[in-house]
Amino acid sequence: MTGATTPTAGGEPSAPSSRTRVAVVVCLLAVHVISYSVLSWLGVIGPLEFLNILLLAANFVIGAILLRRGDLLTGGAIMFLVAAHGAFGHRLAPDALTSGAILFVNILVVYVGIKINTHLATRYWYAFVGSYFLLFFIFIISMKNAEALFLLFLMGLAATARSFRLLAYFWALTLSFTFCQPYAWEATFISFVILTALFGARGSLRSTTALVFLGCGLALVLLVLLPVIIAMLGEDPRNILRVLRDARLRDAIGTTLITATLSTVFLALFTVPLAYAVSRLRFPGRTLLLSLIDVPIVIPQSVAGIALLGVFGKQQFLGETLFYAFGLRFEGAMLGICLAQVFVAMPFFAKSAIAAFDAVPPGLEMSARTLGASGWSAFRRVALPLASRGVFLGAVLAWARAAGEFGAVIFIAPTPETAPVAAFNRFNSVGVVESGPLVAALLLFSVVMFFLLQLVARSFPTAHGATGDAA
Amino acid sequence: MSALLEMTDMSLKAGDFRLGPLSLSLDSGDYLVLLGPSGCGKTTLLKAVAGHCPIDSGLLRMEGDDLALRPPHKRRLGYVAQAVDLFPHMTVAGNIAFGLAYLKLPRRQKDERLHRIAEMLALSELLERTPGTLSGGESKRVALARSLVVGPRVLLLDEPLGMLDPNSRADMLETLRTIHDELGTAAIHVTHDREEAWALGGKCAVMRDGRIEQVGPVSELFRQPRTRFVAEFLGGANVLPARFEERDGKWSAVLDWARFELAGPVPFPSGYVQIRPEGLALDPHEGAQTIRCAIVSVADRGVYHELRVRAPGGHVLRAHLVGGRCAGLRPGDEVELRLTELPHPIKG
Repeated sequence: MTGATTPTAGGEPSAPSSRTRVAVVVCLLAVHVISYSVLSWLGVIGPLEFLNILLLAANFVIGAILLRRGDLLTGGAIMFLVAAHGAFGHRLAPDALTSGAILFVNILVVYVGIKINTHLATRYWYAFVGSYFLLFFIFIISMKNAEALFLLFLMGLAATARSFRLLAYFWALTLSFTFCQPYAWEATFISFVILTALFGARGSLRSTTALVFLGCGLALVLLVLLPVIIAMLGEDPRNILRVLRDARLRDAIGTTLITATLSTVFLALFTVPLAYAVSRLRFPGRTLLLSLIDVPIVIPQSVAGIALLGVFGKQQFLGETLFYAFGLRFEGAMLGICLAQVFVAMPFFAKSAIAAFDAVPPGLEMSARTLGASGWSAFRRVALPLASRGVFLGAVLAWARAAGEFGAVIFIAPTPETAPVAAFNRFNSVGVVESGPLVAALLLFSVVMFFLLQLVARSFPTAHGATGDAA
Repeated sequence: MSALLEMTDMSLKAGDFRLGPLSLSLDSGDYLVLLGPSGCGKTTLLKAVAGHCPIDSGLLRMEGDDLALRPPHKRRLGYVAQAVDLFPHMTVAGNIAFGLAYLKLPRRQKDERLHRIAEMLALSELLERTPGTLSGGESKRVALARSLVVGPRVLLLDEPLGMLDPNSRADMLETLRTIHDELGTAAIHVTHDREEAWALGGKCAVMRDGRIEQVGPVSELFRQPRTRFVAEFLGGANVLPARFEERDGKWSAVLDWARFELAGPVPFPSGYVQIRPEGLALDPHEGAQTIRCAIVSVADRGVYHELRVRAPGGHVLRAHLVGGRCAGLRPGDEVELRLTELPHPIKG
């Protein structure tokens, strides 16, 4: 079969095709097909051997034509290859088919190399030659004569070398499959994502430094997420469905949904006004307040849980008082879970909301005020709508943080079980392999919820239109 | 008759900047151009009137009542800020109608007002667009419409022609003039461009370092500046130190190297004389006051030639000359320049 394609491939060098050259190629093909059929039917000659001779002859003719047309470089190179092949290559190759394939690939590579050298900037030529020798090193020297693979990848190189973008994808694929086994597909995926981002990157500034930073950052993010991807996709979907039918897990997910939502609503009522005030006012202690908001981030969650238990626990003064005065129970109750969640999620909500209000130019509210809006009305009609995306994203982050909180929750309320506590309990009782489906189910649940909410957040307006227009 | 808007010894401190004490009044129907270099406190003054900067002392009254006691939303003013600050989450119609929500009017009247103002400012086609898709001039017109639709008592315009390309500037200037003619709303128009003062005419106030230097019709400020700053800033005039003395009932300004006749009596002994670049001409004739000077540079400005010349006292003067003879002038040439108008004395 190689013989059938070779004359056409070899015929490419005379690319600005005139009729005579097309006729030559067609004739060669026809002669080849007929001779091949006749000779093998007669059994006179081994078909592959004949094929190889024919290939040599065809390329000789093409080389001669190119030389006559004055294309000394391409024609000479092809003639040289044919001569070298006829003299030595024929004897080095194990059989006639391999020998033909080598000649074919060699001609292709030489042709592409010449094209790149004459049509593109020099750096493409360096990349091409460098890639050739790197492939040679990998497959012939390092992998001990993997000629077939070498030829295969060489064809890939010939096909991609005229564009750096394609070449980059080619090398990503090549390196993933030679050095990243058994995670070859994952590596390919990650590198393709990174390369797509890099080559698609557009910005006001053409900065190689920024591109390199982008590549490093993306690589880190994707590597961090690798276990999540493997845990989520590595599990059998039937196992996940079975786990989802488990009543105990359903209860846990229900508890998580209810408590996280309650905590987020509670936080919204307090942090949004706080954020607006902090963003609009300068007052003594403002810097201190901003630092205080961050405190829950620096406190280890177990410590926070114990501290909360120390105040709101059954035997503690405040917990006891609240229970007898209002019937509020925290330890081992939904309210306790909410308390822990509010504690750990508060910074995320507040920070995001403050940044959102900071991004709304105060001039907009000034204009609203002169148009007749009271302070509250300007907040409601201008500041809040324009900050809404950031505020909502803060709510999403806070919700996610609350739903995922384990450390603080397990101290103040080990029951009712929330999803993270359920995962912990399952792991404690059955181990890492058996808790796989549950982990996958919770991962799916969290990731899907998170992306859905992010998607909703995109429909909110931002203040960017206002400032961008002024310039 | 009490003025519409009246500032009396008003002063305030905003950060390191001190505005005032200054007094300024605006009658109904006035169009006041407030002129001054960047950073002289023009914007702060507008913000103080609009209620965004509290005043420390003095009075700020409108139609007799103390404005300082009213929060910004109860002052019934129109404020068009320098930067475009349309509400990006609303359409053009939404932006214009923003203030209408606070008026107790039937819905039909509100719609009517919206469309009338949109038509007046040529915004009818743009009502459904969002602010992000508007050009600079269109945004400014929307901001103007938004302020006008609620029927403000005074319109505060902070550099309404700033950041516009020349064509939009001309359009906007025309719009402002039309609005003032049709609605008669009193306005304070802040700018650092003296051309705008000329184009809009009317009353003009020059500000410097937080204080008002001079108020009056723009032609008066131009021809009879009261301070050196006004002369230089508004007219780009030549200002030279001089003494003033009377001889035989005629007043003249005495310089080290020349003596110029003046129009009338001068109540102060020394100061400056203003010689405007347009007040100099090439063709000396008998009895005219002249200055002999050497040309430093000549620049062709199309309508006129701008010359920089060195007068005998060493002062470099600017002269705007009209006529064909200017083309032959070269730096280094000696020329005799005639004063076509009497120099104006300024207090030192």
